[in-house]
Amino acid sequence: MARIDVRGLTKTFQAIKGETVEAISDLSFAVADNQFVSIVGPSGCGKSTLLYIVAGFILPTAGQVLVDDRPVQGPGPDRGIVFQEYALFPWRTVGDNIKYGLEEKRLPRDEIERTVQKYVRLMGLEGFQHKYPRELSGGMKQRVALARTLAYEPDVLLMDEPFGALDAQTRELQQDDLLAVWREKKKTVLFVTHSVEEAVYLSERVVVMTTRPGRIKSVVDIELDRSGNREAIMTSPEFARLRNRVWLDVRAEVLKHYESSRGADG
Amino acid sequence: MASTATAPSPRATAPAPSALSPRGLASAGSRLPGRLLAALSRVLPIVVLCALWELVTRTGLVGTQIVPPFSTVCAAAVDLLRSGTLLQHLGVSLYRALGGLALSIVVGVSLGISMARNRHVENFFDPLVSLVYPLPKTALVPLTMVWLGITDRAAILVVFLAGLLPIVVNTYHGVRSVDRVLLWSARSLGTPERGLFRRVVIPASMPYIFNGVRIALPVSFIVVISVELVASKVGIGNLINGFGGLGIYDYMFATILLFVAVAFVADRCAVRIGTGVMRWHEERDAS
Amino acid sequence: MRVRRALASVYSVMLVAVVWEMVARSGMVPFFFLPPLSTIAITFAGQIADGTLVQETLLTIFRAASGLAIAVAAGIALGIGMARSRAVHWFFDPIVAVAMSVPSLTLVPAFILWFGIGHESKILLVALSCVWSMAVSTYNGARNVDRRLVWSARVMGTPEGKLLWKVVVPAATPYIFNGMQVALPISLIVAFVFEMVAGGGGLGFQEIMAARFFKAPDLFAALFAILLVGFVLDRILRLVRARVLVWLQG
Repeated sequence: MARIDVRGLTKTFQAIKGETVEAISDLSFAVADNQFVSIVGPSGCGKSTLLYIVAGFILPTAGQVLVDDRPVQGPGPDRGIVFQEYALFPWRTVGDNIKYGLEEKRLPRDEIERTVQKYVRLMGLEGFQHKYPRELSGGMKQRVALARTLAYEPDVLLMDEPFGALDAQTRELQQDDLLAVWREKKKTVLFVTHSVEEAVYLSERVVVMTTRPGRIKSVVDIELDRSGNREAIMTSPEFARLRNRVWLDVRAEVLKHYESSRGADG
Repeated sequence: MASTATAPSPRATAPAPSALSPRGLASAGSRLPGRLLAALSRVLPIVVLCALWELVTRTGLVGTQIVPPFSTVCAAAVDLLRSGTLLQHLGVSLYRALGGLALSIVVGVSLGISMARNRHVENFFDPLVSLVYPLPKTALVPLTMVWLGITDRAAILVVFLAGLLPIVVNTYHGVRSVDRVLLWSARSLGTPERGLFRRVVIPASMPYIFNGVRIALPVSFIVVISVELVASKVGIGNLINGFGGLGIYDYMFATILLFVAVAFVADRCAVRIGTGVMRWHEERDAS
Repeated sequence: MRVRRALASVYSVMLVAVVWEMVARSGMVPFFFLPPLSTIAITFAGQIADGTLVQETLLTIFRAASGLAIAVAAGIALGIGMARSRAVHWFFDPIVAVAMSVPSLTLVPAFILWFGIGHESKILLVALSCVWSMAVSTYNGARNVDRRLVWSARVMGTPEGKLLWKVVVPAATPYIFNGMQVALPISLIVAFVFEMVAGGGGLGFQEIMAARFFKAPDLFAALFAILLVGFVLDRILRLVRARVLVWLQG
């Protein structure tokens, strides 16, 4: 039984001038329970749109998404979301942000406190509980965003280029932290990213999308020996081979997209 | 963090130097005279100006009938305060200004929110707002004079109308510019659609609403004075006009200065309250 | 579709106009309180035809515009001076801050004393009211010039003396225009209220006189005139701004 089942998903938008844009077309794939799946593709291929439909923020034009065999009809606490822009509530402290989902669940106060403490420790946010988001660095904000989503224990984690706004070094550190959390907490993760390296490093499976209208170009199973540290993994020939495989597919689509947009400018 | 060492995460930002560390003590020690000096240096040009004022008038460079000396004005100010005249009229003006402001906040915020949330309300009021925008609200003073006479109500009405526009516009923009990822995050965290307004929209638009109020505050003071200059038997504006008409210029200037001081303090209070209430906001107003 | 949208945007105004006319003619409110829109329109047209309204309008505009012109010139000069010299900034900064918080209309009796009730007092008070915000806007504009623009100009051979005019002032013009857009309504308000208090002709005087004699249509006519003036002058300034700042993005 798949955790996430995307069936024949199509989404068309009305552009400002009235013409229709088909963002994704007849997309189907599945994500198994506790699997880490990344989605990559050229800009504008609709990967974020796909994620937002799974999250329930946007309704598809055709097709459906089933989560735990139930069709998605709107956003909900079973599917946690983490955005690239962090989307922290600026008027709430770090602690209060993490509390948010727990407040919605109407849990008793001491249980909320304990859970918040647990996730503050897990994400390395000790001492920052009473700070406001504006006082934090990008990396810290992202950790708060993750803590907030994890705190109410959704089964599915949807991540929209969460590390995209971070500098390269912080990004690498956050990736490892995310993997550690994923292994410990056992979540199903659907991860959208621009970076082929990131996708290959993090996931068990990479879905490559075509340029607009987005369809599935290929699905690559990532079989890496992840027993070593980051250095060992990233310098291994296996990693290079998989990375090249995915990259070439994405590259082909990027070039197609580039050619078509050049034609339009004429 | 799970997989790395148990030592505190190196990625956390370094703690601020404690007040008792050598660096902390040094900065604390230098902070006090440093700030005092800064405050004094800001006031110095004003002091120089006042000294110049006194000099120019006392030496007869400018006739004292034209501009009374600074010291005389100060004496008049003291007398005004002691006799209670000022407080009496000030009370009236403040009542009108703050009363009108309170009304514009209540009506303005409600209207701004409804316009932002409801297309039809927006379409209805938008042209009206654009139409009234270029009209200086003080132009309505003769009209309110006809409608309500030379009363507190007339003044409050004008102040209310003057403050309405900035508050409506700022509230509207505040509500409209709530980032959709905040709304989406709240939905994913379990907030139902109807809960979004209270939980997300209102806190997120507070800085804008407050900005509107901050703009409307000095407007209320200025408008009250204008109204009282033209159509009132009491109040600070009327007092200024009265002294001017009778030729008692030292008292006239004294009243002006005292009023400015009050308005200045009011604005500072508003800023203090604002920064206190919105400690979380990104752009901290330096003034 | 376009026509529909245009209609939709005016329908609330038209609704207000219709309701006004009906309420005024119904006898529910006394004439001097709310004369019918049609009567006001006729009075308005009549006053334009015989020139009275036009004359008074031009008078008010003349006073406001003259004062504004002085304020713009002096304000820009002061702003640039403050931006270039730390000493000038140090001296004037608190003065500007204090001056800005004094409601200039409180000085009307003082200005009448010093300059009489003719044009000069009004023009000068308008100038005084607007100069500080012009100075502040210009100062901010001059200070916020991207250093890299200045550096590029230096590298390309611009002499120090010319930098001001070739780089700093043009880069600061958006701020200066913003200052003018804020100062324009202030200039009108000050001129208008001064006329209401002191007389000497102009729309403000017209309006208060109409009020004193309970000549409601004349009152509303003057009111609409000032509304129109404010609107038109604002539009003109926007057009000029768009032309001069054609290079500005966003």
